[in-house]
Amino acid sequence: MNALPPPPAAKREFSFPEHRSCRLPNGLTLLVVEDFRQPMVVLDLMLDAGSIRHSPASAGLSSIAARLLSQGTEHYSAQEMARSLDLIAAGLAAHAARDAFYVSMQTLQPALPLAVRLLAETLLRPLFEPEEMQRVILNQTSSLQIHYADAEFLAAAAATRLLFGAHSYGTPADGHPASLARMSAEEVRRFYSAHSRPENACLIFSGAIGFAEALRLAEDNLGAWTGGRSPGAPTPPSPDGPGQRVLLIDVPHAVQTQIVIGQRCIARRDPDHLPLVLANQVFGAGFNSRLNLRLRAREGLTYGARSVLQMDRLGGSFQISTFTQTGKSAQAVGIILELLQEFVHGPITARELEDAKAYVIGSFPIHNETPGQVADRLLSSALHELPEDYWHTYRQKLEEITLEEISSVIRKHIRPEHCSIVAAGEASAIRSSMRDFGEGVLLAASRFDPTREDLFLSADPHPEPGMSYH
Amino acid sequence: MLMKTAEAASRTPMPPLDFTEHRLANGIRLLLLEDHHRPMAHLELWYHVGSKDEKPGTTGFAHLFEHLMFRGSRHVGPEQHMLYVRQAGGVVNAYTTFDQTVYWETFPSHYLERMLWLEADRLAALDVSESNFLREREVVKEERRMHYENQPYGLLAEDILDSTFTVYPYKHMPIGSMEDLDRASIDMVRDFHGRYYVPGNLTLILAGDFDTHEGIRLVDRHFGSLPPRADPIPRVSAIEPPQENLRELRKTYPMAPLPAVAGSFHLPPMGHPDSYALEIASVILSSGQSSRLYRRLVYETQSALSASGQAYLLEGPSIFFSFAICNYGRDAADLNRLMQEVFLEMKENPVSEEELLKAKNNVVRDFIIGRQTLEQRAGFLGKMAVLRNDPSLCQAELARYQEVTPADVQRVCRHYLIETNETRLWVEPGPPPPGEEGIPQ
Repeated sequence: MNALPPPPAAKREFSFPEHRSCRLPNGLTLLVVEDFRQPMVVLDLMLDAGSIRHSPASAGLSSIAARLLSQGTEHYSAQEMARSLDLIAAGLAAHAARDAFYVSMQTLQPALPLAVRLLAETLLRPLFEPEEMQRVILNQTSSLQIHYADAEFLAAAAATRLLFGAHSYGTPADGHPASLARMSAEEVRRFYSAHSRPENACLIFSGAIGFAEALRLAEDNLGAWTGGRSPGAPTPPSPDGPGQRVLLIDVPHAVQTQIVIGQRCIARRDPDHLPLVLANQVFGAGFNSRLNLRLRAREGLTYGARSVLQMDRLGGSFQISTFTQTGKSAQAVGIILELLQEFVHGPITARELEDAKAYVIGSFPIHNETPGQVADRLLSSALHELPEDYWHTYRQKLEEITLEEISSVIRKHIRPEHCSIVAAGEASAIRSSMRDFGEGVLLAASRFDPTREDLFLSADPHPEPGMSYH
Repeated sequence: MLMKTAEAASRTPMPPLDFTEHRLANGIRLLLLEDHHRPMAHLELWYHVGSKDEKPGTTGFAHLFEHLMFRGSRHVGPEQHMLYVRQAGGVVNAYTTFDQTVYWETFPSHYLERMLWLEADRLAALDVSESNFLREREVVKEERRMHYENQPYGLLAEDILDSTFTVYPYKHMPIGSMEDLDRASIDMVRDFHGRYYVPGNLTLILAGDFDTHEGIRLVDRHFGSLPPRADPIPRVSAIEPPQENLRELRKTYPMAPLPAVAGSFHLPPMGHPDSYALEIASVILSSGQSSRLYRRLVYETQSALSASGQAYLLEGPSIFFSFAICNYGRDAADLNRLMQEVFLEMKENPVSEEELLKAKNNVVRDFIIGRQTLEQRAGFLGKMAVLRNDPSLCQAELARYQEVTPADVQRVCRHYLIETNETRLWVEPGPPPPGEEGIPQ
């Protein structure tokens, strides 16, 4: 057997699938990707009604609106809608993210006309009745109770809250039991009717359908959609997040600590986006990243460690996350901070850049295998108003990035001294060792409410007497 | 329009799953599925060994071994396997279940030979150092903490299986216990490799952009010289005795915020004639907001945050698993009563033709929308080939579901969803932490 892997065969080119688009007379944007490999169609609607469109105190508003769309409309009760969708096996999922609100369906091709009709019914004629609202609120509250008992969720939510402060990017889109308790059906109805506007929506068909047929279905079912008002530009988060801040969330009985170390970063449309994507590959994306190799493969401290660039319309973050047994928490944090310093002050090697490019460019076809994946890319370029040919030129742009550019964007955007450190675990066991990383605040998991304007930090650094530490 | 559409959906033409089967001289079974729509391929290696093959005191070893397969072989260094795949623009992973251990790569198709070389190298011989073994064991222990011990309901499956089975090795989860992981040693690695990582225990599935003849030639080039193993591969011989009485257990999970109740009922293995009606019953009970459990427990009575009951079909004696978590302020005993009522209705009356059509459309969707990717299709072929020992079954499988009648559904519910066949786990939440003021409603 050879000691080295065999060379590759001749490469076959992949072109990002073509799509067609148009605007309906009412302003709705329609995108169509024809793909007849399977008798199925993906149908996604994106609406500018994400959590950015309401105040952080109303956290969960867009998410509850999304859940209620199918829970009673002019022509269908909640159970009639469920029966219809399930009978034709058309899964309908609606959810709210920060920048947008999505309603997605995957349907067998023969059921497409009815699926579009049901989609339009949920979008155009939801009732938001108090009884259904109460059901959904109780359900989501219970579900959030489980989230807020989970160290992984707590660490991520707290880190995001620290980075974005009281901006709506700082609160989880699904809200908190306290914010849900304050919400009325009338508030949900008002929110949706203000933002349900065809000019601010984009509908995509991806799958076994031709453009003409898609256009006809869209016109027949959504052509009469009107209303809403122009939402105006949303308020961006204040330019800087907090300085370094250490937050411990006490999760009683935890056997492992969830760690998130993060800072604010660029918005999606920033020209430094692609060089930073490659830089992040080197630092913390994938098994062979510096972060994972060190924490997992070399130290055996964790099952996984990664860094994620989350880049949205108005801002973003760079967050490193991992988990380790309680007793090793401080060791893991120390290593991450050390790796961050090396990342910013040391060189990136030509080999590292080459590997990062090889992966991001090379894996492009395999990450665009299904109609759904292609639809996601096109919706993302619509959301961020990227150029029409963005996905066609994407790999070429990555190819052209130089070592100098990578080093420069790392120095420009990655600032270890601005990082917040969050650890969610058994506080009594980790608090003393975490002192090495700066002054911190300790908070009981049961007190963590990211929708409170003052959170717990600015107003009172000692929210639980005897639990703060310095 | 609704019923007409539903009937049309049930007749959606099924895309063909045309594959070629080939056996190498040393016993490796090869399944090839050409698809040139994207310049990519997916390679999947199914080793017919899982956690049920572990001996007492060695739980978790099949899965730990899977991790070690990435920590060095004759020509591939401890972190190089992942790197070689990544440099090709591919993605790679592996998983271990009760019955099988599967390694896979998805990659641009011109790198096919590299992937075969990588997989053949670690089948030929591992080269894991003692220190890497010890570190990887710690990684697996962190995986156990992450997915099981540090999750609000993470230990539920482990607890209920331990009581459901008395002798059959589905009694323990693939992750194994901390104690057994601590007992695992590097000496066990060679023995396990020699026993289960042998040509006769391997099914190799290749799907995507390649020519079938060329695929066979390349697989033979890299795997053909591996010697077959002479002795038979050990198989599980335990027979689980029939359960005669309801088994009940109570557990307090300190991190769980809400009470819950779970049940497991013994079922026959996958492929058993009853298994298709059981899966149809699962859809009627649990799939979508019109399902019976959702409607009664979540929607109408608002007792549950979530509720489901479905068949988990394995190679050996399988289970039907029900699970419901209380909504805030609700009671688990009520939840269980409602769930039993729903089961009783399934036993007393045949399901309607409409519900049956809904369930069958759900299956059609799984066969089409759920088999879009090369990985999904390869996984289906692997399951038929390895766990059912006949890959050609995949062609006729859909028809087995289509034949199910309301009487079949009623019969299997009557036969299996009975109290004497159930192990029931009541989950009590931990005490609220000090300062907890309760969640407003």
